[in-house]
Amino acid sequence: MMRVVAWGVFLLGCLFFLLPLVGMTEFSLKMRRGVYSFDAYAAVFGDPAFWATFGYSLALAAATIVVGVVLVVPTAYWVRLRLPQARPFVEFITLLPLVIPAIVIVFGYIRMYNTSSFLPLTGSALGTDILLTMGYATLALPYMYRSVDTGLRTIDVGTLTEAAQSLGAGWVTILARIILPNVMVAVLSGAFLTLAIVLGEFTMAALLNRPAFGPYMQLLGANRAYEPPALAVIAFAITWGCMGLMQLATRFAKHERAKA
Amino acid sequence: MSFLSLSHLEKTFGTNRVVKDFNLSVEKGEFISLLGPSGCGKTTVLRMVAGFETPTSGGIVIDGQEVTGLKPNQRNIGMMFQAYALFPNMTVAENVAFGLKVKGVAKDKRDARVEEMLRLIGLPEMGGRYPFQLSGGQQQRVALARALAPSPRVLLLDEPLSALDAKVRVSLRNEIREIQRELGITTIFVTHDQEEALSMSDRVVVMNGGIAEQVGAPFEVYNRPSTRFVATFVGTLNVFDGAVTGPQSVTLAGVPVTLAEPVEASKGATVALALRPEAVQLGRVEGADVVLPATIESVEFLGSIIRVRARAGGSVVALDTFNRMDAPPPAIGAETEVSLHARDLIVLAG
Amino acid sequence: MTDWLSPTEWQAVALSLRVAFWATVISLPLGIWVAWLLARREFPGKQVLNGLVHLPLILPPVVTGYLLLITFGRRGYVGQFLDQWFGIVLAFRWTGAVLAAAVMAFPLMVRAIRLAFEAVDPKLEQAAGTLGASPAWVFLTVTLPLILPGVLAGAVLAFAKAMGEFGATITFVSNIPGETQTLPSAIYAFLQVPGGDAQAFRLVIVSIAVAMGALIASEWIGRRVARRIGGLG
Repeated sequence: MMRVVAWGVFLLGCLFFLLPLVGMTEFSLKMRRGVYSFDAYAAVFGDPAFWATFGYSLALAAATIVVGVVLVVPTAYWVRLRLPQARPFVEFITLLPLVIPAIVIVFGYIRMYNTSSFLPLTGSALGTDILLTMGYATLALPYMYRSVDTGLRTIDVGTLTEAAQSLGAGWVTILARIILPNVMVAVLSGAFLTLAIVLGEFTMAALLNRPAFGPYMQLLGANRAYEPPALAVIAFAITWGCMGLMQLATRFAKHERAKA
Repeated sequence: MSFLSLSHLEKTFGTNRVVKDFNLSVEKGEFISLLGPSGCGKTTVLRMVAGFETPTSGGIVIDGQEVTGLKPNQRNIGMMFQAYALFPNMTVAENVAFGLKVKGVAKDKRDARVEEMLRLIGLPEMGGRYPFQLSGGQQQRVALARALAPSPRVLLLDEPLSALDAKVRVSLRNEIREIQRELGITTIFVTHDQEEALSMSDRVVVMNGGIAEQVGAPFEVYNRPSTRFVATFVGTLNVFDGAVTGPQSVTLAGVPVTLAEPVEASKGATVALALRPEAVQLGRVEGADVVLPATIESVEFLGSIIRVRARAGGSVVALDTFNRMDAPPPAIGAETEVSLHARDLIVLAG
Repeated sequence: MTDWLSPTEWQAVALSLRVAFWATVISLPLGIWVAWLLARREFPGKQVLNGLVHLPLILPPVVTGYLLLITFGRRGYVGQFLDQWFGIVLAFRWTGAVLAAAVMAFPLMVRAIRLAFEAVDPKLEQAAGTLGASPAWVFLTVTLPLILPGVLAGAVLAFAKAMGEFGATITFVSNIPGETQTLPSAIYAFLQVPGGDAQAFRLVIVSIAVAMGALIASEWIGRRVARRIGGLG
């Protein structure tokens, strides 16, 4: 009896999630009166602003991933190797972006780096892009750190470091040739998550006034009827794609191991 | 001038002095074991030589070069770890080549060296495999090849056999020793296994509580232990109390005995007399200095050796006899005698 | 305190607290159930459920808000149903903000509770079961007390996230002072008008204080659960 109820609730939950998706997809196909068509999608893909903002966000996502990896991998490594007592503190720091609203972070940026400050980053497009990248890196920090830290747990960081040192390797070599390749799967999984977050981020890009994909979606959603659902479906597909790629990265690694 | 010298090494962690005034001179090509229970400081000494720990005081000189302040990657030493520590993301060949690559050795020379090393450890076909595809023994041999490839001045082995199963352990220890002899590389080997230390080493350093209790050849350490700790830690031992009756004479279970060496104790004092199990014989032996009545308490059949425990002279005596097809081991509870010679008695100090 | 914030600001803070409170309370039972499913049960579609739960974390908040709008909006099929039969309207109401905040905070809550479930030794529950207790009774008397700190930690984290939710909220229920203008929405609004910096700054301080306080509380509770479970094992 319990089982039937549980399954019922589960199915209901699935419907709850799936129906809006189905409805949204259906709606997005009804742009042409009376028949289903991909006109809305054609309109979205035909819009140069779509490609411009998407490309911009993609580039920024790439920059964010690079910044994140350069920041997180050495930090997580160092905390594991030399500062285990700092772990709770670092974990606390990495959790902060989850609960502090992005709008608060961006507010701080605008005040700190405005045109009359000592470092007027918001004064130029490039400066603002740098600021936005830093903001995105902050947003992605919890995911990247958790992911890399979990990856590091699977290898014996201390002994591998000593082995490399005894063979003459310095810190750069150890990080680049030993640590990074061994947490590559974790880094990739964190990177895809970062990509998904950056592509959809709205607050920071809007307040810093940059032509990113998030504000574009918002703008389109407010002004058009049929394109928004199409765009939402596209965003959804991209997100699922990122999640799928994450899964694939993990699978691939397991496959490598399983060959033994 | 010795090749590797450790002088007055001290290491303190917080208030805990784990290594105290440690001195050791190692000749070129020598195989030295640091033997002791866990926590005796042996690994710390090794890690100081490797550069992973900085001595609180004292100095380390390798081949005339003061290395005490150098970083591990500047010392040109090779090291093997208990947990293999092969780089999981690299193939066997890449692992072995790693040290050479860091050194900037050209690719053709590197490849030749890797091949040479893999042949040395008997795994010439395994270059393309990944560590997880190898057995523990194979992994540890690759680790040896990796440590040796850059031609280090000193080879450091940190309990490299502990993680392996018994059979592999014995064959690999012979292999390591053979390769070490062939290359003539100065080696320090840390272990808590006395059999490994005795069978492999030119000299053994027995450590306890951060100090070197005795340094000597295996034969010497085993037969002439200088302290009670060394005597009991290395091998099995029977200990009797003897009453001193003269400068070189004692009574053992009421029997007067003249010792091989003078006793450094005044008349009437009690000294500890130690005896290896293989020096005690079952039954009455012609020419024995002491013969005691004994009751067999237990018999352990170990194959080539039979270890018997018998109650004699108020304590339990362990004795080893060789297995012989025509002489079955004694029965438990049997009344017999045990014989021993005064020349085999070791007077224990401290 | 009331002097320090202007009435409009105070309104936003109060609304945010109310929204976050209800968002946490209504999603807690479902959160515990889903966490239990993910931690303890093997069933087809588990990966899908896991993905769905985490979706709000990575799906663009604007899209999440949009999905909510077409589902629970006045013309959405669930929205219509609720309006006709129960007279409940969610879109552009503070109740809608509760829903948006609950959905966005859900992944964090489930994660914390799931970890608590995974830290409980199933043998304890099995032992209670062999002593004749029914599954529901085992859950209430054995499992729940053990995971309670994890549940609290998850609730606090979700509360903090709900306080700060912006993208989905503004898309679903817009930014109406007194009705749907939560803390972040108010900050956003102040930033849009010239000279609103000072007001925004005060709200930012409140926001940071709530987030930090919640996180510290959550970590503290989490540390305690680790100790307690460790003590049991």
